[in-house]
Amino acid sequence: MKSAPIPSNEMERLQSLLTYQILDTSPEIQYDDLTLLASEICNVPIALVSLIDSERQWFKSKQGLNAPQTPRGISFCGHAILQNDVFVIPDSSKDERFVDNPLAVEAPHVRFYAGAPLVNSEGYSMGTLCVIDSQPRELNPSQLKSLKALARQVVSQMELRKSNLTLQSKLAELQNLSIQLANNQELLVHASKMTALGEMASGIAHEINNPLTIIEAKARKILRLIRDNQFSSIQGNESLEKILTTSGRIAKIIRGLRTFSRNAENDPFALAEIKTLIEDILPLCLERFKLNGIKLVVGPIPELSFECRITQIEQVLLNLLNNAHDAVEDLEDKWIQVDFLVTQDSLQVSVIDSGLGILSEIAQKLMQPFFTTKEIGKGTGLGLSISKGIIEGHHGRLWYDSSRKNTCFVIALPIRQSK
Amino acid sequence: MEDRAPIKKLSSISILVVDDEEGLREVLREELEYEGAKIIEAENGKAGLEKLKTNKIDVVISDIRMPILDGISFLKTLRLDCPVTPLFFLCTGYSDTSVQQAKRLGANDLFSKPYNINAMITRILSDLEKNLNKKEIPSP
Repeated sequence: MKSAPIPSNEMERLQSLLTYQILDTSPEIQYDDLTLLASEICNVPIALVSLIDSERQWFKSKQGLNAPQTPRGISFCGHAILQNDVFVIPDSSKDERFVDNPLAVEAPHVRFYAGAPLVNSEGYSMGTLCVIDSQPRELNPSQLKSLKALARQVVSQMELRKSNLTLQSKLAELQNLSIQLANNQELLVHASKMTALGEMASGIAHEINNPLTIIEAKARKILRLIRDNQFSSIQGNESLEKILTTSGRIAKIIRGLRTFSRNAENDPFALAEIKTLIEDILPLCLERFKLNGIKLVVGPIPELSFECRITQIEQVLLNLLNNAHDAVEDLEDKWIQVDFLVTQDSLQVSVIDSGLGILSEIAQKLMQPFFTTKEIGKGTGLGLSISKGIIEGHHGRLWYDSSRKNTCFVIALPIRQSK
Repeated sequence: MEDRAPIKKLSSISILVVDDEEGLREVLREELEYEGAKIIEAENGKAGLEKLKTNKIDVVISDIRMPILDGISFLKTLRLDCPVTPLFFLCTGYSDTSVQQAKRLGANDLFSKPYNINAMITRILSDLEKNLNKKEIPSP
């Protein structure tokens, strides 16, 4: 018996074969169909897709044979991959290379063998599509042609497999990237919220420290009265009442801060009263308005609950109010008006300010990320684009209403989120 | 009762309290009146300037963030007529104005809300005393 010589490009050939990640995979119908066709066309009991690994030939598909693999040293296919054309042994008993080959002498008794090499796009011969019979025989030209065509189909299947693998890894990469992107987007939304909070911080500190000062002074007053033996229930009552109502002011602003500052990207939609929502955010910006002489008029707030991510809607409203603040801050006539409109299935909130509208070329860019008309350090240019994203995430709409004389931004939100 | 009455540290001193928040003016009035001071209130810088015209004022305590006329503008105008009247800012400690800035503009000091009443009184008295000494120097 004569073992097939090792090809000169064996290392590269094996590397190329490994890129298909096909060795030791399960049978697949695409390959089994091709071996079935090969055995039918050539009228033989055995047909194989045999891939030549370093020490073995492994069968991706097999008809009429049970063994999953055989040693490379006794393989017929090891010879076939060295050929450019179909390698045919009409009768192994008459061929000195195979006469004592265990595969010929014992089962499966290979007398006839024809193997078409599986040459890939890089020119490497990875194995064969071969047909085998225990009787000596010949293939006619049409059978040879068909066997070669089927071998090309096997290679096509393998190339397809490789493309799929590449696509899958690209897809995984893409999914990773989109997760990263979503995380960054989340951070960006949070950062923009924190910027807004920063802009309001001094007003908020004022709003907390003023009542705190009053509470402390009233507590000292009670202590003083006790120390001076002047304490009466009337005076004590007056001071304690004042302490309680003033504490309430602080509690209110802390509540507003608590809901506003948390990262609520993944909060579920919940029913919220528009009234509570507005009452939560006003303390956060009122002081700033008052200080700059801006009159805030909040129209009658409807008694309405609607489905939303509360913190996100608060963020949008505060963003609009802060923008309005910055827009009218230096004007002669400073006012901001918040109006509500309830239709059958939607809630509209308009934030109107005393500014006289926005130039159309600026209005077009308003919702773009990083577009800002504010001086450096004052705005991120993200507020409106993030607000728009939030509102669209609620299946609503945020727009600049250019039909009005004054600057007006409107958000429209569905009262119920469709499931 | 009489013998336990505290020493009125600010006796006969008139203090102008300028703050836009009524509750804050009220507690300052209560605490400073307790120490014997006479309190005049104003709700913003503009009203404060009016009160200065019509009242004898020894000390001014003023908020910074106020509508109509803020504390800084109030101070600047006040210093034109009253170069030495002690003025103390009372702010929320989160203001755009630093202590240095306030002093450079002619404020005596800057107290943070919530204030320490004892430190405030001590500081008022010491600055009033300094002014008194200054006045005595030119005429020995």
